[in-house]
Amino acid sequence: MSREGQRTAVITADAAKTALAPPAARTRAGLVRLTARLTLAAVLAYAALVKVGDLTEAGRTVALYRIVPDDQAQLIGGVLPFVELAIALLLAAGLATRVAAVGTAVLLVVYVAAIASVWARGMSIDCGCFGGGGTLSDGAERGYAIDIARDLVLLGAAALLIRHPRTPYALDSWVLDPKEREA
Amino acid sequence: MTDTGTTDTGTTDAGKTDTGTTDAMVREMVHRRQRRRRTTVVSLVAVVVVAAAALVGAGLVRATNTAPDKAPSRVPAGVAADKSGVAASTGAVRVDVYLDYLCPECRRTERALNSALGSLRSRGGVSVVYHPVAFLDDRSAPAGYSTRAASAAACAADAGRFEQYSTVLFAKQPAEQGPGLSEAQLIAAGKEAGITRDSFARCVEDARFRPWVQYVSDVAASRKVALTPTVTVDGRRVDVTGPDPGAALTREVTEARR
Repeated sequence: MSREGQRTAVITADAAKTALAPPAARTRAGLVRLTARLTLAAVLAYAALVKVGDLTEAGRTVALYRIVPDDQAQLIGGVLPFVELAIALLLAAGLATRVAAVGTAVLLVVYVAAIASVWARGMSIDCGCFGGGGTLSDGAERGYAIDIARDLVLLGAAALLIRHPRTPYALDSWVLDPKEREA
Repeated sequence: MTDTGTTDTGTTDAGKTDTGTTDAMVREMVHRRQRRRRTTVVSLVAVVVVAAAALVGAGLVRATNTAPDKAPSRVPAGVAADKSGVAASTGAVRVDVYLDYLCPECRRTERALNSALGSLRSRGGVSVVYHPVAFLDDRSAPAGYSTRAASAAACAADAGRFEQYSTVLFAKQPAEQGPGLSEAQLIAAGKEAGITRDSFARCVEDARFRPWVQYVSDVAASRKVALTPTVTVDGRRVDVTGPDPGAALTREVTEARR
């Protein structure tokens, strides 16, 4: 066997090792990504479910930010819970994880911007992130800081999934790699 | 769109000597191409799913935002021609005030606007219509204070003292998430507002104008009023969140008079 051949053999062995590598579930990174995916799914699903029961109220909460006119606020308030729910289901199933994570990140950036905007304008409202929402007499600033901090943590989780969308127990690996399953 | 970087190390200078390796490479390439195609398809499906969900939401909003039902048969005395509010004065320029008795901002606005509304009305030509809506029913515990207060206010309108009663209710405004004023307190507030007739207490107890309050809220929602307080002059919104809502309102009304 030539030297060249030896090298090839090593590379082939490497490739085989990668293909037969233990499923990501057993690695720590895989667990972290799985946690990120499921956490985002749970938070989005919860946020959607508490809002979906009363869309008029959800629209009112959007109007409260006074960023868009009331009639558009009604529409956005009605659309948001369903978008959140759809993305939550995709994340929970681990299907199109990267696209779902991009969607999550877009939502979170919009939320952070909206909260920062009301904060900057000195308004006192409850963010209505998980339903409710209303004007507050005090404690609004602390609320804004907590809401933004929470959204930034979630944004970090979304960024991780955009960079590494492969997670254990995801439908993605089932749909995308049927060959690897057979191997 | 997924991690494939780990499998293609050094394939450029390898595989020329071993047909098995070439096979593996070809298989790998085919595999990767299939995978890319599948990823694209799955991503597109995901985007379509999210878009469909958005459409469902938009459809539901449209469905709930249709014109409200017919006005209920029982409406308080002094109701505006369209029955969607209580007319406090009549004139060419129409001022609509949408308020919720549980909304803290409404309390501030009511105080700030009272003198401006008073002087505008004394000059005449202004029709002021109050719409006591129940938007914040779920912000009291038990829920429903907004509706109870608004229907009590309708009873006061029936007795000809809507504005006075409104002022009393705002002065006694309960905190959000609390139980709100009790029925007895709502009745007692009527005395403070100068309502003497006994039928007022019965009206409050029977919540006689509950359907009307629902109607008022629905009409407000169908006019794209989502928040309280909302004040419009001939249908145009006046920003009453500024430091001097009274001046803003006076400016708009003066403009509309021209």
